[in-house]
Amino acid sequence: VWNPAAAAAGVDFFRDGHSGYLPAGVSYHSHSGVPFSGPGWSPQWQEYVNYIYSESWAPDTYTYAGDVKNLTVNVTAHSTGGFMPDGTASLADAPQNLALTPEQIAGLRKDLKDMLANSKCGDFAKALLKQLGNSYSDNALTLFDKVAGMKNGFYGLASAPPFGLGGGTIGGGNASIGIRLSAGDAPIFHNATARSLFHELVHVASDSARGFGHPEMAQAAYAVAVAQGYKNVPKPPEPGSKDYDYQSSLYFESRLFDACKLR
Amino acid sequence: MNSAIMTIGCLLVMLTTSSFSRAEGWRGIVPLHSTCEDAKRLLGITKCETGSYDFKDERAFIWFSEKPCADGWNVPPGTVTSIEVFPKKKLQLATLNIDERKLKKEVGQSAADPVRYIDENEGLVITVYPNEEVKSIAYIPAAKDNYLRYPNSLTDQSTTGGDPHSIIKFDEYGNLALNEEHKRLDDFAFMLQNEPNTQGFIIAYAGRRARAGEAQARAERARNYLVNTRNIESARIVMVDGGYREELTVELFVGAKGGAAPIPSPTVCPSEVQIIKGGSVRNSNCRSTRPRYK
Repeated sequence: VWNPAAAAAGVDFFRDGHSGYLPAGVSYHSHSGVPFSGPGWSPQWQEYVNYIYSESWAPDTYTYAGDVKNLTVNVTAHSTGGFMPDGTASLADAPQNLALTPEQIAGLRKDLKDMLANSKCGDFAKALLKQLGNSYSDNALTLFDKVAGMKNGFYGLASAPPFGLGGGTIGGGNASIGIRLSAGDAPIFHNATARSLFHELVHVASDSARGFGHPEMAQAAYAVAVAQGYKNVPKPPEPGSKDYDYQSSLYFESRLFDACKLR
Repeated sequence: MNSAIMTIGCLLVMLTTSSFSRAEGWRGIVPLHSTCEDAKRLLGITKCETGSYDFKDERAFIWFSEKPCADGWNVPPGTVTSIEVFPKKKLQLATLNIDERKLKKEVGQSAADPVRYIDENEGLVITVYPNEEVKSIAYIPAAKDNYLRYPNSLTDQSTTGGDPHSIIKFDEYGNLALNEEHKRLDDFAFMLQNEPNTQGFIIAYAGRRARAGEAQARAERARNYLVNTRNIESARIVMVDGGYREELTVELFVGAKGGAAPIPSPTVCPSEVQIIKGGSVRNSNCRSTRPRYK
């Protein structure tokens, strides 16, 4: 459902020169030159455009103008390479990022709390955050509350994939997490959401402006899994591996699953 | 604990020199050429275990070999295979006097992600933040050492790469009774039905003692149930023969339709597997560890 008020807030958000992901209520859709759907579409587009909007990247490569339902972004060049072609995108109907109600945010917190109540998972999560070295806290619920209190804290993803997106850091004061709410009411769906949520919380958990990347997360997960006596733990991907970041993320997912699975 | 927490007062020689020489490695440690004894002597560590090691000015994650078929290198156990060094103090790329234009550049999924500059010949990977601050320096096997590769090792899995946040591990189970397996697959089907932009991946691993074709048969059984009973489009289900683990295992992933596949993570080398055939057991060296996608 299109929410003009939320979209207006989103446009203002960027006019402020704020950095972070697209706020709740804001979306962009296909316009001539930018294949936001169909062949060539991938969820990464969303993230890319977000950074362009947010002025946190290559600020001289875009301009924007327009009203609430017709924000036009002209991408003309790239200073750092990448895969987004030149073109124009515009805001239109159906927001891709949703404002979450306080009840929904409380529900996410409950998902996380329930997952961590499993002591095996709770111990793993705590040790992992400690292992990373400069996490704001080793308590994932504290991290959750900190993000929730930030200007653009949590927002919902209207469809999946992606299942979660994290940007900024707690230490940098700009942590923001997009999350796909549970697909169903059965505990396994809430557990899957909680794992995605924890994954994103780790990304933004740093007490500095440097977020934690997948390789660090994978290496920390390995160290903790071995220390906590998990059996047959494979080594994390090596830096020379193909698709190092992707492999590291999947590796982290597997260690987290081993610790926090429901059954 | 695997991570050795140590404080070594050595100067951070590598990071303060004006240029890199891969031949000298990191503190004299060269991947595939430095042994466990070298690592102990040069780094002051007491054990050669893969893990994180803390030094005064940096933290290093060091990979040591255990067995060639798992690690992918024909080197003795305890040999260093890679090192990733994370400086604790701010270090700008410019101070390293490296001509990054000569290196292969890998950008991340978003502009805020670090960029990797790779010198495959020298075996060096420098990861920098968007502000050109160095995040890590990794020492990896150099191209000239490729002759040491162990073919079809467990690390040698096909990958197409993709957006890490567009795929999740949904479930995993072992040798379940059929009705129990169906309950798990019912949840998986519900997830796929509620997320129409996704597809499901079934990775099946045979156990250390396995019947021929066991993993493939398990994956097909799961897919047939999803397609025939739960009415999931067959094109939305991808089966992967993941190789071998200690026990028969099925992993279920949900990812972007047409997007990257999960990467199998077998833990048992084919040479260590006993194939049960016609009531007898034999060793198997005949199967590649490369996954087969259907």
